[in-house]
Amino acid sequence: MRIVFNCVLIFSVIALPLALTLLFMAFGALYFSRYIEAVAAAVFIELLYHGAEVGLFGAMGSFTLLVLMLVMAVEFLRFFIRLRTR
Amino acid sequence: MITGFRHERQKRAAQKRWLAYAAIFVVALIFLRTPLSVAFSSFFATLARPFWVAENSALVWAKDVAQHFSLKQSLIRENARLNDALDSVLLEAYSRERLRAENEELKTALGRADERELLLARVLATPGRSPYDTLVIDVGSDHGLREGMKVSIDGDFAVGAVSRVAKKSAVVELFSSYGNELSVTVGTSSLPAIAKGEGGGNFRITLPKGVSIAVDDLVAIPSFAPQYIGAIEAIEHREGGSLQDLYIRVPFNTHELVWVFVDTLEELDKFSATE
Repeated sequence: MRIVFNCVLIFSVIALPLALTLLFMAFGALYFSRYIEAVAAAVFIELLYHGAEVGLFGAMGSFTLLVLMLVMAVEFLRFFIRLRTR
Repeated sequence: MITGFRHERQKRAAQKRWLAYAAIFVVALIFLRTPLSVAFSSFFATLARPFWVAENSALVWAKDVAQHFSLKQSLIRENARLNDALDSVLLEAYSRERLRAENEELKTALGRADERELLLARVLATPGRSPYDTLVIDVGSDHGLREGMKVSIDGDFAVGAVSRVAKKSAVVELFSSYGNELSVTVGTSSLPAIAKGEGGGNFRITLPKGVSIAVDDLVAIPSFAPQYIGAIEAIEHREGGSLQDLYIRVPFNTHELVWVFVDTLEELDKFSATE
């Protein structure tokens, strides 16, 4: 299931609008545990589409950092919820 | 005792998790911020190119099929509308071409010829695919492309500049990317100004109130042969201030670009889309 979903994510990076790619990333992060593939997809997006570095948010790596932070936040929330429900 | 041991184990697992995240971030940075990124970027662009080409072909095919199934009446209406549009555009085009030729002749007579060598490129990916305002085009270093080459539409509307080159593809940074600043002239009186990119083919210019500008005035990049970046879409007067904001829009949808021209003779000194 995870491998199939990763293939869909890669296809989405290449051929689908960013909004859909972000939705897939969010779904993956929520459904699978430690969904680091989202960070890999962010790196892939930056390598494929990034142009010149303009400003702080246009710097290479900022999008990846943002996705990594979101994945970490989801993991932290999951850990926190599990701890609470025990 | 058992609880303490469990707590210790959980703490160690959490530490390991943080270390793993830090390692992932370091690896990502190595991928993205070292000279290795150029090689990886080129490799991934080569991998993705066949998919982009196939997708473009599939879209063209799908459009053709959809046209076959369109209703006859709607096709007749569309045809009539397009014929009317074509008539008016042709009239404009005749006078435009005559004026352009006259302009070229005058410049040549005065010893200044406008030299441009345009290379046609197909757009493989439009800005909607990424958080960046970039295009991916199907020509690269194999076709003599270099970073900084200016990219335009129809030769007259400058849209951006080549910012990264792979063997058979290149990334074009649009001038309208958020944060870009471009020196321009506004309107018929050629007022010098700075256009700030707002993303999605939009710019913003701030000028003092009272300058003679109007909606639909063209905004150009100062060069020997005028190259436009767009037209004034709206003017907003700041209340109680002495400034006004001009909103500039390119006259086409950047998400629907299919063909662009790369000027292989003109390069920007350093690429940040700012001249």
